Amino acid sequence: MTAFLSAFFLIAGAALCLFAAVGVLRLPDFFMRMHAATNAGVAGCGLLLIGVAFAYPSPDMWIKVAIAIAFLLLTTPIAGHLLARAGYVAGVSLWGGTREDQLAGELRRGDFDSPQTDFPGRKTMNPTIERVVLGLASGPGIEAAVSYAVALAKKHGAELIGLAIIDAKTLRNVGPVPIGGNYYAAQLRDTLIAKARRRMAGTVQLFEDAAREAGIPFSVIVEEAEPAPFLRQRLDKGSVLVLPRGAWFDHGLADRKIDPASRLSRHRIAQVQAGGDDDAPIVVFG
Amino acid sequence: MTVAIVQTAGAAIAAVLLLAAMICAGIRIVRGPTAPDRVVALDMLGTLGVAGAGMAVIASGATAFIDIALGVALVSFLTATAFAAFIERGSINEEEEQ
Repeated sequence: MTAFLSAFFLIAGAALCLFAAVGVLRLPDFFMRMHAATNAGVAGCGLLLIGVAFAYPSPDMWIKVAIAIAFLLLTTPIAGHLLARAGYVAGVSLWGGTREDQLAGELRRGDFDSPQTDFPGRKTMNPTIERVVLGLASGPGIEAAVSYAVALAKKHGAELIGLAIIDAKTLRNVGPVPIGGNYYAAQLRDTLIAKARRRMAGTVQLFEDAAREAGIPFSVIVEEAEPAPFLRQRLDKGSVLVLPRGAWFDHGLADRKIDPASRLSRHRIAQVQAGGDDDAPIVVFG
Repeated sequence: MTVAIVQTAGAAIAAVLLLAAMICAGIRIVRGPTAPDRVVALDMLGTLGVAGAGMAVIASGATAFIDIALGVALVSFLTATAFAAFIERGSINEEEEQ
């Protein structure tokens, strides 16, 4: 009898563990993945341990299994809550289909140490879209962002604007220069900015081709500016900002990889992710 | 006879399911895309490690492995807590503003 019970609990526990792991793999955003991991992980693990105790039944085995299950039940919710809070505070983007963010205004997002200021974005859940502003940063995810923005503008009959910005400040910062190296540093700066202009021209071309193919009117604004404050300025009511997931306005030329999501949350621009893919574009509602 | 077969088959099926679960969690660790995603997958892998220690009891017949399950559970909780504190203090915002 105990053998049958043991086999039943073992398989049930392992199956629950597998469901949880598939959830961790397949669900679209961080918070849902966390819910899958903690919820089903504990139940699956607990059932499996009960199965083990049925396979070798003895008082001290049962006591140890009971202690292990009690410990799991006690700690996993705490760990899950801590991780979710940390992720929210750090500014992990929510799934694009999220309808309500009840923590908005309760917890700070992005920069943890500075006081919370006025928070643009996500004030209305079903905004009217009059302008689609697409950030033309060269790098991974730009194709997805262009096609998303063009489709969005076409669907809502909105004005389509391509923003081609060069983050000259980041590119000019080439790091410490040895004595006598200023000539070469200046040369390096000029080459980097020229390269960034060339890459940007390619991205603008990509955007223009896509917009022409879709047959919708568009305009391109070229600017040399600090990107995040500039984006924030453009983000008025009725406009939607679309940015590629893995690219920033250094056009991939800064010596460190810049994560657009963290840049935006540092400037307290609330963002959502459009869809569950890893290169799904970042979307900000004005 | 049938009792032994049921027990062995049950343990074997459970082990295969657990392995598949571990592979899923591993893929999420590799894919990311953000640090918190990886930490959650790592926490999940820790929970699966507890289950794996349980399976080791069945496989080897040594009941001492259940103590290891307890130890793995403890360490995985501490890992998750430490990573949560690390992320919250700003691992994502590592670059200085201006």
